[in-house]
Amino acid sequence: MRIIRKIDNKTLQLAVICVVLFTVMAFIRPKFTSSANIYSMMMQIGTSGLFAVCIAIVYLSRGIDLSIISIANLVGIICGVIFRTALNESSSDAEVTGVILLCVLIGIFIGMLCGFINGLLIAELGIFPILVTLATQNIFMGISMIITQGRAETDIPKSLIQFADSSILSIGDFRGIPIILLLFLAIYVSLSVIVHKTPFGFKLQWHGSNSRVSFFNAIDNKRVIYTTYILSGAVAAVGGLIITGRTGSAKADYGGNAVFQALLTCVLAGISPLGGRGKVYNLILSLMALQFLSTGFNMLRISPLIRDSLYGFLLVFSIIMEYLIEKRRVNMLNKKTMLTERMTASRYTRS
Amino acid sequence: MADKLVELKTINKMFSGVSVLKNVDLSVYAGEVLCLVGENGSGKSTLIKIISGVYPYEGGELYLAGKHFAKPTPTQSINEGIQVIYQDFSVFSNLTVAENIAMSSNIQNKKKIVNWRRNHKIASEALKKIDVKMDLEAELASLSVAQKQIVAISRAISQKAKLIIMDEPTTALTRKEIDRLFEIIRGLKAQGIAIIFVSHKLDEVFEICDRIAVIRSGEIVVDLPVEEFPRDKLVYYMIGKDIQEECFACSPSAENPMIRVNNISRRGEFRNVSFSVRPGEILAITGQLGSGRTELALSLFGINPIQSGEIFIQGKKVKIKNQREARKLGIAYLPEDRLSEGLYMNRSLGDNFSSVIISQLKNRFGIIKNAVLESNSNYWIEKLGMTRKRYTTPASDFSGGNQQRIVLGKWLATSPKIFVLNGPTVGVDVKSKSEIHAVIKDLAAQGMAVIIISDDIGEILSTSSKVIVMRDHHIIFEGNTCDISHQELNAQILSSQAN
Amino acid sequence: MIKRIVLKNEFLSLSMILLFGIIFGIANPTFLSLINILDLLKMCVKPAIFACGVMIVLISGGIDMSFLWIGMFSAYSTSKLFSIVQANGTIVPFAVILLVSMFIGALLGSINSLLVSKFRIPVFIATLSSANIFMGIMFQFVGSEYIFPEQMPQSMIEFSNKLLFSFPSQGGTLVGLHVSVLYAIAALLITHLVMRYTMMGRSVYALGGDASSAERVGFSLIKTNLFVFMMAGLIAGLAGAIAISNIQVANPYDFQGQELTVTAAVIIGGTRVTGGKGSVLGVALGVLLTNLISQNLILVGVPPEYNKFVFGLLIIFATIVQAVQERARKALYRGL
Repeated sequence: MRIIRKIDNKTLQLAVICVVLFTVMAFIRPKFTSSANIYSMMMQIGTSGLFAVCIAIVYLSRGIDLSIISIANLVGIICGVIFRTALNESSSDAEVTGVILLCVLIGIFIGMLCGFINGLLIAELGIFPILVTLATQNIFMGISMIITQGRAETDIPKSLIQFADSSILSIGDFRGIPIILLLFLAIYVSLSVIVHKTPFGFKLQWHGSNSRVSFFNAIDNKRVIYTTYILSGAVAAVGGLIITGRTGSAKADYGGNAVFQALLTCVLAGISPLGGRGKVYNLILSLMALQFLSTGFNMLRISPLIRDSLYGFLLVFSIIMEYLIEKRRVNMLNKKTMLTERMTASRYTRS
Repeated sequence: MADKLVELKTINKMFSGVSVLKNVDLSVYAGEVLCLVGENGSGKSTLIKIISGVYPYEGGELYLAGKHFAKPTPTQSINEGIQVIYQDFSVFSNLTVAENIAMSSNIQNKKKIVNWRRNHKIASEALKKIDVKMDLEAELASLSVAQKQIVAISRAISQKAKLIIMDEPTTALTRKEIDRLFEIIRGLKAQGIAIIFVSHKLDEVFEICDRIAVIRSGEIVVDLPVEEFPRDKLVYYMIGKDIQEECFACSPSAENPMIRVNNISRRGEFRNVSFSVRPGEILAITGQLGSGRTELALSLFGINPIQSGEIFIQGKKVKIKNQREARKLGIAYLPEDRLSEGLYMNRSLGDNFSSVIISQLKNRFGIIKNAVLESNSNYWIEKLGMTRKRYTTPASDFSGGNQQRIVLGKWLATSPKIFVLNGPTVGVDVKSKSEIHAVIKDLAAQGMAVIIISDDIGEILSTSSKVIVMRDHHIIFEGNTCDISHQELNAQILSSQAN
Repeated sequence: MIKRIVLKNEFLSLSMILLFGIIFGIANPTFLSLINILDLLKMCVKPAIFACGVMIVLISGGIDMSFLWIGMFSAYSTSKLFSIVQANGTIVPFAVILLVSMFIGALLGSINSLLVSKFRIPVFIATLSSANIFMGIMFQFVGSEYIFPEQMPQSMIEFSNKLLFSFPSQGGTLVGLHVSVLYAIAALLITHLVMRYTMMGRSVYALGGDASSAERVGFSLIKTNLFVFMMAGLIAGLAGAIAISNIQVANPYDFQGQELTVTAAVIIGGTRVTGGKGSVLGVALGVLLTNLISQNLILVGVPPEYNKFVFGLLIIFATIVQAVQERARKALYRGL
């Protein structure tokens, strides 16, 4: 009973959507439940999930980060360049592994640096996050284009590609759980804990709720902004490394609608773009729902553009549902409390 | 007798079964300044909204300019020449002075096309009526609060206002600006325009009004011309009982000051301020808006640090560079505006109570458990005498008094040595007010040094042991509250010529 | 007086246009050639018309992400409709095509308005979703295949070949001012008149400045919102039809991913992201500036790969300058 009360409506709502979608898809296309398909869905959640996590944390701070996919591609390209120059046919396995590890470190560092630049412009110059990240999206992508001159970096070591395609717990036909999904889950769980259970996480959400109150609470707002965008940059960098490993290449303009999908996943999960509201743990459910939808449509041979369209429908539908629920809640609350009290309070509410 | 612009006859109003206005009779005549005085929640804003057609009334009759209106709409009310200037003025900071002034009359006249030359004409005519010169092309964002208010008044005039209702028009004005506003009001009066002046600043009321109506719990308890109004009874009428302005005699628990500031200054904000507060003492800092009192409080809390002078805490010289250092030094600060600066409204009680000490609530793994938030919240609910609510309840669900207690509680959790309270009971009902005062006195009794920034003289006299009056950025008066009367202190605050 | 001009938001884009014009002109005289300038103007047509709608939504306080798909939806379905009509032997004048496309655009815009004012969905989210919905509906129910010049309505092809003041160039091809530039100027001008001289237009500024005050002085927020999104849709329909005509092919994927480029141009032109401020002149200059740079960097030897990078820096630079201007304006008027 207690557990049910603890789970908020959104979680239940999303869980129902997931189950319904899964059942419907499995019914229409039996192939949907095949181990190969489940494996590939897990792979995709592992990648797209990272970007959704980025957006989720910046959303909670009442910000937005449009630059994540550019950061990811930039990281992939710089790693690609390093691979191309540092390795050749005759490199030993140890050398390759060493360079890969080095690239992971450099890649994450670059992601953090990009995040730092976003944070700097937002915190120090006070420019709106949407403008800053719109600009840096172009700048980071621009740097990628300057480096590659529009071409793709393709000299990706085999071992990295193999690693990206590896899995654990494979039994017979079932290929097990992809390492990419595990990586994502590790990041996802630790970020959920950071956001909901640590002092920084509270400060982040409070910043989204009302940064002026934080200012008077002696909270270092600039530090919160820096940390938020650096985190987002770092996670995006991991996303870039994973894309590089999975596709065996790095391009400046890969994943054009990844940001849109990430925004959508968050809003569907009830993480409000107006900040300070939402639970990161709902994200996995909305990721699953969208993945079922997308894969199912793929199987039904429906164009991916139609799929995006249904995302749009789903989003509008879920927001309207939420609006209606909220309206009922407010109506009930109004009946309970004396209106006079609220009215005197509202006189002082200035937006 | 002059024309009756508004006449209310036994007006009643209920909100979900609660009676907010009971048999209100009130008339407003052309060319008079009527002050409507009442506590928060006394029903004065409801009354205004009924006159301006925002709320329907339930019993009684309403006459606007002699015509009976059973269900007046805002438009009808405007057409009868009634204008309300709310506290936020409802002006557009992104538009020019001319457009702001002319906009309403354009809407009123159902204009579809904007004639900018006509806008200018309307604006300059309205400004001329109150004898003010202003750049019509200036964007409102670049003007001061007082200038925005003038724009709002001009807008009302441009709509052929016969009655202008001003809701607490002086709250955000300096004394100079208030004098100017009063001049404008007198000018309007001479042109036959009536004013309803809503205020709870008693001295202003007597300065500007022709007639005073006091409203208490939805009833007009007294309605008299100012000459006949017993000045000393106003407070009694407002709250229905005599408040004992018994001075607060403290017993400092130690001789050495907890905080001593010596000659501190900050350019354009305050200069050469010195005072000290011993543990157990409550110091009130008062003065008009713009006198430097709020700026001083902010500097003590490390926001806008001092530029010269020294601050000693328990005898040790300290530098307070920002809020975080202030907090480390044991200074707590209760901000002026509870709603926008004090509480995360959409966050829970547990969050708000822990919002200053959050870093101390983590366990050895750096994790904050819900149980910790819950017990912290329950502890402070008990301690501050609030009604029991779950720690997950959002802060917005509480009344003003309880919200203020949450703000107090989150800072008390840091066990501060010095507590700076900026307007601790603004917008709080009378009962909660005295309860909050009791909490503050109790804190002092436990050895805290308390500094209250307030312009509520009753509050200062009954809760503080010492008082400092600031004007023009420096201290003009310093004394014990036991040695000064309400009137004397008030005179000090209002004294406008330099001594 | 000079100070006031400098502090105008439009001043930034204008001076940058002059600055870059001079730099480009010195580095490569071909920049100043008539052909190049005429070409630049033609390039600006599509973003400039779209930008008018984007500006209106921005002034009202929201960011529109749906205008390109509204534009595509209206233009594509219109050209498809009339290509079928044409196949049956009826030639339709260009004005009718434009009107139909604008009508469809306005209709789609009203759906945005419904989402925003009835269900209180933030504009950014509402339009992001509706953009996808419109796209899906178009692909599912209207079509997704290219419409090639042979099938395109005759009047659209004619329109795309219409040049004013044309003269033969050295290469023998005809050079002139493309007629669509006039349409763009007309769209800008009408938007300007509507936004500045009608109460409806002013209500958009009021809404963007302070919604609750706007309601209190007697504007109907629902009406204003409907106006904002119908206007934006109508303009998008016009822009889409003209853009499709200009390239003579209705390619449903053609506008994809340009939302932020147009929005950035509008912002660089001095429109405030939080609403309440913006002028058509600024927007026109912003579009001109961004296109001037992106089209001509190559002339001065900067490879096209640098475009994005420079564009990003431009956004940051413009935003910082605008913040400084805002502060200086306050200082200028204080204490009058």
